[in-house]
Amino acid sequence: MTGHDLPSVVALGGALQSLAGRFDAARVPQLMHSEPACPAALRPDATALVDAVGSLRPVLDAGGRALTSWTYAVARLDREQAAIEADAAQYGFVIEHGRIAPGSGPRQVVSAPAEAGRQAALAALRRRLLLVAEERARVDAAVRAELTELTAAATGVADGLR
Amino acid sequence: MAHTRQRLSRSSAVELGRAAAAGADDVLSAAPFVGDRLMARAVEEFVEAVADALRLISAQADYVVAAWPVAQADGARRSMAANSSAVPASVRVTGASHR
Repeated sequence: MTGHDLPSVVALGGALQSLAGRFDAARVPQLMHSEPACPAALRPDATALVDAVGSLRPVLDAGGRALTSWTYAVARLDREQAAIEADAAQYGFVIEHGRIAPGSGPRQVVSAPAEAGRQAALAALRRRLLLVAEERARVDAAVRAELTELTAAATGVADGLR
Repeated sequence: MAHTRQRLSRSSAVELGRAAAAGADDVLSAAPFVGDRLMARAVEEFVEAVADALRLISAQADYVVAAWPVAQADGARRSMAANSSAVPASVRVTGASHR
């Protein structure tokens, strides 16, 4: 419907959250009795390393969650739009580019009450379609804003290590 | 962050570097196709920024690991060998059997 490859977005979200988990596992000190403490001269570099990981970890987690949530929201809206299209087809309408148009077949002559019912259905379909479009714009804008924030945070982590 | 200030082990640094290097590849290869132009741009910029940070973390980990003397890492083992007076010094250094 929207041209998104949703499974690939879910896969990216999963990869980001999995990486956050791997960082958690790696950060737990696995001190063996044979391992010495970090040499004093190396401590600033080691601190910079783990600080960077500590700062990037929530970015990975939040990015993964944001993308996964967005995917579910888009899939729900796609299903809602498919239901609207199915309902529109029952009244002989088609939905193209988010607009309702009369079907291409010959139009039947119907009674006045039937025509009134058809027009009422058309108005209801338009309202539902508008709600879906508004919701789609809202979820897209929300995830874009979150990704922009997270991009800035990731850039900050990288800048700290340059 | 507290981990560093408490104690960072060399093996943790190694694992962090590995995770970051693999993560940079994973994230770049998982970059999805998104139909909407604005969304596609936001996702692409995010993925690139994350991959960039991961590459730098990997490089930092490599540096820390390389500068962290490996010889110290098996200090306890060498200490145990040094305490064994029955084993000649030449054998202790090479690790070969004296039998």
